[in-house]
Amino acid sequence: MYIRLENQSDVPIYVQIYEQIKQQILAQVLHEGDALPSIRQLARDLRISVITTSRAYDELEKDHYILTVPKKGCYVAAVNTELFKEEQLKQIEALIEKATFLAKRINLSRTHLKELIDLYLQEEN
Amino acid sequence: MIGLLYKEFLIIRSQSKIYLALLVVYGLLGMYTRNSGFLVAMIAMYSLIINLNIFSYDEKNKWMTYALTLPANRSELVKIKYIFSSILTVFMGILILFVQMFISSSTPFAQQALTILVTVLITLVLYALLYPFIFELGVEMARIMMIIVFVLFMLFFIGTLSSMTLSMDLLQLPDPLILIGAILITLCLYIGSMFLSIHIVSKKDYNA
Amino acid sequence: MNSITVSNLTKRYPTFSLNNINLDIESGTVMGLIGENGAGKSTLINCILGLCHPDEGLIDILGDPGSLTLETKQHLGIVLESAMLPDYITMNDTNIMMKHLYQHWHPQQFFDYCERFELPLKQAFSKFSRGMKMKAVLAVALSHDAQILILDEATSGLDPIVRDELLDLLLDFMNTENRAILMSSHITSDLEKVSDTITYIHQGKIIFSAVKDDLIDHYRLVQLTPDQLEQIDPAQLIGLHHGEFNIAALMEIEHILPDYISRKPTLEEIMLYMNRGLKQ
Repeated sequence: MYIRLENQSDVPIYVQIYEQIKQQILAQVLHEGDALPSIRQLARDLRISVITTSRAYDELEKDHYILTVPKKGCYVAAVNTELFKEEQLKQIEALIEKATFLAKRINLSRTHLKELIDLYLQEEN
Repeated sequence: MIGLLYKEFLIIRSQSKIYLALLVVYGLLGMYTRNSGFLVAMIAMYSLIINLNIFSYDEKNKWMTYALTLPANRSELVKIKYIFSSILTVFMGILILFVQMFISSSTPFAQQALTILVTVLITLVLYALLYPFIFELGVEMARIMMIIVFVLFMLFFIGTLSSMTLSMDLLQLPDPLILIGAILITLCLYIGSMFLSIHIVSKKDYNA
Repeated sequence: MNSITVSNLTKRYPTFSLNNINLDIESGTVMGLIGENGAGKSTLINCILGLCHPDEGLIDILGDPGSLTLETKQHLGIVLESAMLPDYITMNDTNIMMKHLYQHWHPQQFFDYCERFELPLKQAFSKFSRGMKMKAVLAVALSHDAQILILDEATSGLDPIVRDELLDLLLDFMNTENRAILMSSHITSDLEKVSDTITYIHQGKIIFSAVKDDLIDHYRLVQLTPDQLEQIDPAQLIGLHHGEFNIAALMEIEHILPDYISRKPTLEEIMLYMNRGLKQ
């Protein structure tokens, strides 16, 4: 597991941690049953407050991404692949929104845009 | 308490050479002048010097402040000073008694013991008077009073006691009751002084 | 659960007073106390430790309200800036002394620290350098299963490398559950490294007490043009530096407009800019 805090981001630190751990779980970088560092270890490593890491873990647990085993620590919960797909879909939609916005700016035609999509999809094959 | 008492003894170790030297010098002086007043006065002097030294160091090191961060409270810290001073004085008394017996074996033991006892008692009374001042005002401020009392004390001893040991008229031992009375009064003053000091110290701020 | 709770603490001196201080230090956290010299950090700590007598208020440590008992002090490790071991004591002597004072004194742990800190065992304390003295007192504080550490300007006068070592030790101390640290320092970068919460004291009052990361998430240091400055409601400027060639201000993140150049402030900057603001 690896966390990169964006120093100048407007996103609160505990949210950044939440998002990154969540993404890693959904992308199967972190697997079900993997042990997460303790809130204290993580806080020390990232040079932030335990209260912050604790908040991030609380949110992750609330949303069922992780679970706490008393006296043992926090572990990655069973991953919901539906959830993962949904997340990815959200991101795809957002990117498409941006792409169409940019396309409109330069008056790119619908056909041209669709051709580009086909081109990229083809390259995968 | 033992831990705190241990700290009081440490200063003797660190300055033991000086004290030993003083003991030898005054012992020799006493021997040559045949004036045991010196030696006897030494009980008071030694005891005072050591204890005042400890107070001085304590002030410089902010000992009270540090000690209060340990499992120790104000009344304990005051009691330790009184306990240590009395142990030291009595010990010096016994030590000087032996030294004196060795030097002037002509005078009867009872006489010498009596002189020493009186010295010890007077020293303790001296502490009883002095310590509340030190606790209230600090060593430096109390120093002036100390010097006055100390000088008077030395004069008294070297003057009167030496004549006492020479004059055989005073050979009769006083009534034991007077002796016990004197001891009790001294104890009362000493312990009373301790409670006064505890009261003084409990009100004080010992800021870091 | 709180390790330390301070309620309505007031201490009056002729030229200065600590007013109505309320503070909670949660178990498992490190609280950093910042403020200018004379702001009241040491007074607050003196009151918590019973070194001085408060005029009003209550202090509760580990569930023990009122003045510190001997029992509670068994669980405290305290390092103050200038009150330390006597001049003539050695580390060996210290071990003997502490063995009789603390119920849970660990001689081996103490000597391990002495070795780690390179403290000679037979040398008089007066011969130690300032850094060594600090380490010695800290060694004592860490060798009796203390639950709370209280440090008052314990790192001032030490070089950055020694400071970093000490801070690491404090973090190690916190690895055990249910411990807490209260430390005051004017070296804000030290507090930034180890604190969970920060309390800022100014002229005897608490200006803020918050989670460190929240503070840094909440404020921004903004570089402004004179035109931009004019547009801003002065109440939103927490602190302002109006130089000849540069204008910088501390503002809350909600008040930042998209065209501002801004960045997250350091703890020191928050303190400095707030101080400016408070002076006006």
